[in-house]
Amino acid sequence: MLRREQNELLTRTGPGTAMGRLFRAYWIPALLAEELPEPGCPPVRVKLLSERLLAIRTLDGAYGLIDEFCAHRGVSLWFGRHEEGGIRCPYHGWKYDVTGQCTEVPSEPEENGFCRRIKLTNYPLVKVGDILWTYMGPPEEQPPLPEWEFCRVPPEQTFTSKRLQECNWLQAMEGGIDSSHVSWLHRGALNKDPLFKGAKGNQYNLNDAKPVFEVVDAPGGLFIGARRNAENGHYYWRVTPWVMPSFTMIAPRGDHTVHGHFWIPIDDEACWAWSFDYHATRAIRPEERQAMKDGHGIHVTYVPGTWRPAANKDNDYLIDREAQRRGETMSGVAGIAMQDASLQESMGPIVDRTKENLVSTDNGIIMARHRLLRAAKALAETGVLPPGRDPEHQRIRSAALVLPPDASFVTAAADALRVREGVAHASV
Amino acid sequence: MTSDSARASSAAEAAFRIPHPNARRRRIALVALDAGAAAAAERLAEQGFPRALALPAEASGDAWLDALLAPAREMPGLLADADHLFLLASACGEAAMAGAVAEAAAARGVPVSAFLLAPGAVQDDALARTLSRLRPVAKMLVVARDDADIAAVLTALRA
Repeated sequence: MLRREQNELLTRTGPGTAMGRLFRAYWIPALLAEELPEPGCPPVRVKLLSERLLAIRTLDGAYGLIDEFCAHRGVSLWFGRHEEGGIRCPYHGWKYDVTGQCTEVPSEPEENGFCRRIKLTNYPLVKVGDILWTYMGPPEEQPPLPEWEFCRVPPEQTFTSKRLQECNWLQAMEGGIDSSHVSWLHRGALNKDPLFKGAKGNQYNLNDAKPVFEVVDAPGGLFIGARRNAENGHYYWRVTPWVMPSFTMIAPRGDHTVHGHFWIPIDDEACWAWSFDYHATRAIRPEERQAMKDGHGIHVTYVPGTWRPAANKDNDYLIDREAQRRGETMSGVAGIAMQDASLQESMGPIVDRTKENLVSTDNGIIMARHRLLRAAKALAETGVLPPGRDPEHQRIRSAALVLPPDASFVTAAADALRVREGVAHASV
Repeated sequence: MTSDSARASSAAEAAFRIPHPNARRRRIALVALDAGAAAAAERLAEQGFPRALALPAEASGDAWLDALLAPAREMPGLLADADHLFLLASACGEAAMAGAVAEAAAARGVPVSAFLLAPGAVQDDALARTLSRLRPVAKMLVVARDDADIAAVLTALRA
């Protein structure tokens, strides 16, 4: 349960809000690199943290993220035309470079310098891995570029997708650190989904539907450990790192690729669910990559020409009551990603957390909220920059492993929970 | 819109959610297993959280027995009223009574969780000793770095 004002603070991320200020302390995914595939390609409208922006790639290949609207009379620059050195508004010919600087106002004499006084808001846009990242905070506080392992391995070892989720970012992210729902909502997927099935760890999951959770502080956020009974009095641990503000990595299964997410607010009632798969030491196999493109694992298929899932709230997520009755799915919705998204969207645009009744298995969620509230207040009130910006906080891994009964998983699995080049994830 | 309201997840529709409370306040019992935990519990009680029952961590002979008897007599009443029991233990504490308290809770059907107070770096062997006492009995464990962590969990659970 949260008090109403706490729920407001955590869910509002527009300009001038405390949580918006927190998100603006990080590099966040803005769009897939494939959305701006070549110099001079069509610009892309991007809404992030309730700000409408335009992503462009100029004729000379430079990336830019600028205010979507022309400073003259508010026309969307999405209609703009690429020209040498920038993009030109088609209405009256005002021209802007990638920094949002107006470089030409045809109706004004060049010598009066009018255009130099016009500058649109702009943010850096940088390609790291498959993603174009942006930083929307004060330039003097810009952190180093992202160091997440999934976007630092060679291209053949990684795959990233994104999908529109039609609810607030927080209820979507909370699903990513709520490991206890897996044994219910996704129980049918463990032995069927091509990106999950076959791992020995799956049997520990299926044999013990009541995991015990331990939540431990981490430099960038939390480690959330779920333990189940294994052989000889040992425990099977699945450890999920959560790094502020909204990064999670699912514990691996066998030699499958490792999955994870970012949840990035579009506005207060929609977010981008970013989903990645990678393997630290081998290329993704063609059949694995095809399965990801076909919407298996944590990925989805789309309404053509959009990032909206093909199964969405306007078609009741293509619910199949017969599959539900047969026990193939718990909710009747197919696919891990849409099983999550459908239920999270059903909570409403912003769930009312004053009415929820949390239980002890929700402690990962409780502690994540507590960390976010504390960090947002510290940043707003005293300017203390939050955890998760340091590249060291980002060089972390999830892990699945069997440990002795009295071992602290953070200590015993210390090596497994950090990036080690040339070494695969610790997995069972 | 048809009579099927499953698609009604817009902001406007959210306004029609039934505002009536759906739960009563939860009764959470706290048991401190050592002096450090008892001190933390005392600070939390000053903030309005339930006062913890403090058990002796360790002592010798009759002194330990005497120290245990008084709180032991309070245990049935504490558990009779509780929806959930939280054990509080310091990371380097013995947590010697964790098993006995959990057994009493189990006999009354009260679920048990635990806070492990670790404000700074903790030696592995000391932590292992405490974990080995708490893990068999707690269905959830939070390694708390300060009182605020504990308060956040208790508040979220409607203590």
